[in-house]
Amino acid sequence: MNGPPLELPWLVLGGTLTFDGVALVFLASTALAWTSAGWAALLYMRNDPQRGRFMAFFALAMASSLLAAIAGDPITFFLAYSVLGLAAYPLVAHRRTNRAVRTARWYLVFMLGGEGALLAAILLAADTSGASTFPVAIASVGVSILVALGLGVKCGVPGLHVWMPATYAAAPWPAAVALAGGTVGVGVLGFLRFGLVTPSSAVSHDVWIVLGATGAVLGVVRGLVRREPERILAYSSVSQMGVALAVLGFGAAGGADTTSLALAVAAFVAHHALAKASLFMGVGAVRGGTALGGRRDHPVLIAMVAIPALALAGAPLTSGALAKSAITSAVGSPELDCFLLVSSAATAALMLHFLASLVRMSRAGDAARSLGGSVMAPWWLSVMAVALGAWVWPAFRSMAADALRPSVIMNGVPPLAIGALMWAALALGGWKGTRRVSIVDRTAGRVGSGLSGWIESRREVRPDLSHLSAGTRRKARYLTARGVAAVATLDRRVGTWTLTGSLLLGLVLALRVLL
Amino acid sequence: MSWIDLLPPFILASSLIPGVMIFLLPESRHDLRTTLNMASAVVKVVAVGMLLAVVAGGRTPEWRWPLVPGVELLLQADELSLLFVTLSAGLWLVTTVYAVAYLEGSPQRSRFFGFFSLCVSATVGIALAGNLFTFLFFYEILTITTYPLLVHRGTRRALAAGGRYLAYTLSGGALLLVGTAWLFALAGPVDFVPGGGAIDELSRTRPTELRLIFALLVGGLGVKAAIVPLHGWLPVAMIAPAPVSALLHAVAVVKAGVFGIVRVVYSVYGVEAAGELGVLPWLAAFATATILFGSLRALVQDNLKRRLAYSTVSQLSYITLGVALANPLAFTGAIVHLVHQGLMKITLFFCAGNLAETLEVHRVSEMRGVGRRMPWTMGAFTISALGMVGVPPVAGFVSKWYLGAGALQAGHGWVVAVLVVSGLLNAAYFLPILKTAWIDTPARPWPERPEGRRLETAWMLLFPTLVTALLSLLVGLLAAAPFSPLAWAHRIALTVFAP
Repeated sequence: MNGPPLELPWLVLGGTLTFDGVALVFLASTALAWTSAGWAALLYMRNDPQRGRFMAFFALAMASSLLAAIAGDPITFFLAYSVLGLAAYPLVAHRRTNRAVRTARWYLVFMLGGEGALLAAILLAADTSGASTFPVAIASVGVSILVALGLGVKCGVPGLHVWMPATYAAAPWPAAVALAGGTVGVGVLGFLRFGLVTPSSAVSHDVWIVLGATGAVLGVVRGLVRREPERILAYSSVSQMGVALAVLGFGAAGGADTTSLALAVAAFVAHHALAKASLFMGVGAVRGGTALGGRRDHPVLIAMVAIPALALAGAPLTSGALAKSAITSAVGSPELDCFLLVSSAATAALMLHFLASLVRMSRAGDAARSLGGSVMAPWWLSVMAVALGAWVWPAFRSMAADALRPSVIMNGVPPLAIGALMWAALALGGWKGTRRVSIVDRTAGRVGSGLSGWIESRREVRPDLSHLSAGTRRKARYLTARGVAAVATLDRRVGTWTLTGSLLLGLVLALRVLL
Repeated sequence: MSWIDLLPPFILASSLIPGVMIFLLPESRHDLRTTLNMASAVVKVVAVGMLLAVVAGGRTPEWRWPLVPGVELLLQADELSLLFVTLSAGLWLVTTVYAVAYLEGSPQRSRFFGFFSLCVSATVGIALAGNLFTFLFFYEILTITTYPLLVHRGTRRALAAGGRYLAYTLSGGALLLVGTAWLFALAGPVDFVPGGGAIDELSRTRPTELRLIFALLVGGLGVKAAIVPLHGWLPVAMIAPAPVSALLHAVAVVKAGVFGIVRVVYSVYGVEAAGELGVLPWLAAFATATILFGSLRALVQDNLKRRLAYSTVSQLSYITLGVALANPLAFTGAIVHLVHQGLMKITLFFCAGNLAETLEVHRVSEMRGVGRRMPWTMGAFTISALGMVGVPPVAGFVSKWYLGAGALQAGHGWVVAVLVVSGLLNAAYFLPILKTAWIDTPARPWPERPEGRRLETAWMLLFPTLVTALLSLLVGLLAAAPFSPLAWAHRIALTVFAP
């Protein structure tokens, strides 16, 4: 079903669209996530006076996100990537509260920094390899780092993820659905396209494994100490993208077949995109006051959230199980199996924590804001997409058959059980975000802040500078002010007469030489 | 001499003669003056189109007129001059439409439009100049004819800015004159040849003098090209009426300086000689300093036009930097940025003019929520601003890509860092404007539109703005198409670098 690449010789500097297996998986999953998000946005924002503007930028972001999926060369990818980054800004800032605008600003700072790094990387890669279409083989460590910085901001590589939780919490939830479902995976797609993690890549695969595993752990630990469902989901994204990165690293270490590994990772990212979109949809619907039979914690509603949550945890017969078994058979290394066991268990615990906090939110009176429009229809669509999407996708047929073997199904149970036990231990230890602090809570909290405290400030909006001493910060501010003033002074000093005077002096000297 | 050799002087005359006629018109003949203006602008565009076809066919029309023995005015149309002529003619047309609307009802319009036409004639003369003397001739005319436009309003601040402008540009012109004369004394009349080479011999025998001449020439041109520290007149000159600022920042004055630098490096000295003399690294260093300096200064300006002016200072030096890198790709980037920067910057100044004219908004801090009152204007502003930052697919990205790729090819990796940092600085001073305009809520309600007006401002103000904004998007989006400015710049690079 893969189509030939489509050449667009007129586009910017000559573009290519590719339709290989990976591109199609990304295209389909991204399109599904954006469709349900767009549908929800239309319903949810029916009474919003700024709906037109929101939908315009929504459409622009969607178009660029779809373009990124099928971009066949670095420049087209960069085009999609940078337009996506910018077009999402008005979506994040849509509510125009101080908090939303400040969050959106930091979001943009991260995106622009990433884009700058990516542009430099693409330039350098084009100069050294001369390849104008994907895949690009990146030979130098420096360029690899630049690419990783550029793509890492989007998919929340640990350290570059700090914008994510606040952004998802600040954006109107249809935008969060779109961002979580439609854009996070673009980063991982870039890792695949730029061939950053291959057996022959410049940076050792161990680095990617460590980076990915750090993200996986960090995301879960930080997520477990949050209470806001949106933030928990954001940290879950950090964790899942970490898993994807680690899988790439394991694959490179084991010398896995590139094509099947890429397809397996694409399946994983697509599954994550659909599940995460559906989860955000559930949170938005519940927060928005959706109720069945007068109950906001109606079992059907909770079940609709539980399906994607279970899928994310890799429960048997879900898309998560399919992605996991695809990865296992593509890489085939015992270390990875062990890693996946741990990460699935951790994700299961995180998802239970998420469900618990969602139920708590639905029961809390203060969250019952009445917002326009029932979003049941798009919500159903997104749940169906999670439940069925991966199983009916033609390219995944062999993976599906694999995932339905009894032994694989049985293997999917232990991580869930372990995760459930972990969560139960935490919950019994009084972990509901109450003031009663258990030993487990305290320990996990310490580990969490130890891991990430120095890069995240309390608000989780910007990098934390508080661990710098007050003197250093004062000095930095002073130096900045001095620098700005010095530039201004220079500008003033180059006054008309000084300048023309020196020009005339030069003239006289020249004439003296000449005559 | 065939008819095609008469095209260059005809193009020159197509604005010179109407310009003189406009001076003679009484102030009240508004319609006749407008008709004359528009007709000459259209005629010029058509003539330039014909010339473009002739040059694309591989011919080089030239027209010589001996002034004194040994010194002749030479108008010739090679690929490089055509690029600049097309840009001037095209943007002159849109700016004329804009200026007619902008100055509606203001006094002294005959004087204004007369000098306006002369100014464009001088620009076209600079573009078509075939030797250094002709270039100098029109360069000085440009200096003089721009002054009345700058001080058009006649306020004390305008006059002060005009004085500063004259002090800078006349001393720059003096340097250029001495440099030209010196080179003439050494090498005789030097015609512009693609790739240079006329003084190869001299660069071996008398390198020091040629270095000094280079410094004089580029020092003189650098005043108009606003290279730090010669840029002081430009931010002050933003006092001029919006159409003047637009033309001044996009084609007329600043571009004349940059175009002169291109001519000196590539058509007089040639890449090889300039490389041997070791003058290009200096040029690159000054250009880099200017790029960063302009952006840093733009960050702290609240006056919108002043911020745009510092942005011009910075963006112009992209061109100078590309010239100094002496590499086919970087040269292509520089040449194409000549066009791209013109389109984007003229849009930005049109927008600034629209805001000032419609809502009396002059400062960034006054722009809160203006996007809702003037969505089309701010839409055009947004496109161009993003282009300046270098977001694809707007034009600025294409220039930047070529500059970066050329720099790497020439082994100057640091340029990529400069480009990225400058892009981020651009973002830091353009994106807050967009945020203020689109996201913030207005401090007070905007004045309503007058009865019966369906557009957000006069259509003759809005239409040129949208046209140039659309063009800056299209030349980037379709950069790889066969008739884009980029394709033409490629062609120029081929003539310059492939002997």
